[in-house]
Amino acid sequence: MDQKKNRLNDEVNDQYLKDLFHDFEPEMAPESLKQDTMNRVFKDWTENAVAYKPLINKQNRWWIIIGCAALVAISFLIDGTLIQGYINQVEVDQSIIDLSGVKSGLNSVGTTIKELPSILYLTVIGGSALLVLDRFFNRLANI
Amino acid sequence: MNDANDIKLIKQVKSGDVGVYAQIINKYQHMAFTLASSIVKNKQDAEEVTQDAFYKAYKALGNYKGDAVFSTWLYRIIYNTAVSKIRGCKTDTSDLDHPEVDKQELVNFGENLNRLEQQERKKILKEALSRLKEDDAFIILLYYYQEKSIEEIEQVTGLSKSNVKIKLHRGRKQLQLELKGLLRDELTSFI
Repeated sequence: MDQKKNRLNDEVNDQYLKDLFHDFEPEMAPESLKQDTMNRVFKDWTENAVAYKPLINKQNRWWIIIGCAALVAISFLIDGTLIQGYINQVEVDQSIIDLSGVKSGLNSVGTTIKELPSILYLTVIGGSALLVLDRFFNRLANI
Repeated sequence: MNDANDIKLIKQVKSGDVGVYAQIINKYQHMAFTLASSIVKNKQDAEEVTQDAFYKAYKALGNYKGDAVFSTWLYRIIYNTAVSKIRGCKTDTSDLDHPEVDKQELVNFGENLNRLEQQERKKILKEALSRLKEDDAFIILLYYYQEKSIEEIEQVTGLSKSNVKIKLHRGRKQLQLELKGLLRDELTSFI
């Protein structure tokens, strides 16, 4: 009986409070709150440099350098004509794989590149240099 | 349900447009301040707590993955910051007896409250809320005003489901008693 009465009380009470809270308005925060918080946020933002994640991490960088050095060393040790000889030794059955099309295609690409005006090369090199410099100075600014 | 605009603003802040954070503060500052006030019971401390909470939220924004509703996530920070603030300087808050309320008595009380102007009702409700225990007032606000579910209140406060229900029940009864007391004073002042 008591339990039933309690539940009824709770239900009436709950609904009544729900209705009462329809009129409720939160307290107005002081004017200074937003400004002071943003001051702290900006202070933090200026104090903490933007961290750039390196494309190649330090550990991998050393392996890449060692690998490149090894490749350069091997290329100096091996005579180019030797490699050419190996390629010639590989006899490809022309009736199965027709390489003449590939060869002529490569030839035409080579001729096209050769005929390109030098200004194009210079522009590409200049553009790339600018991108590299931009990235370099960005990093320098965040040290 | 997460507000799409909140997600957009958070993404902008994360990508480095820190000024956008002011829009987030604008949107939540009043509720955040009210919730902080309900715990610390003092405007000066509430401002400090709200400011700290917004700053902590900014610092932790990188960890916010959008799994929880942003307001729930923010209110949790407010709750923890406010509780830390009052911890240590807490006065004795012994439990009060909650006499059972008769249904008829409740209806009369409701009728009396309805007789008051809307502004007066708001004033009385705020005053009654300020007299509740810290946790109780906070939970009552989330449940009745913000219409958060028990599960969401669990997430905000870190309390167990049964604990939230107990505090809600206790807060509800206490709020009713406070409202009745204040209403009696108000009606006496009319006479």
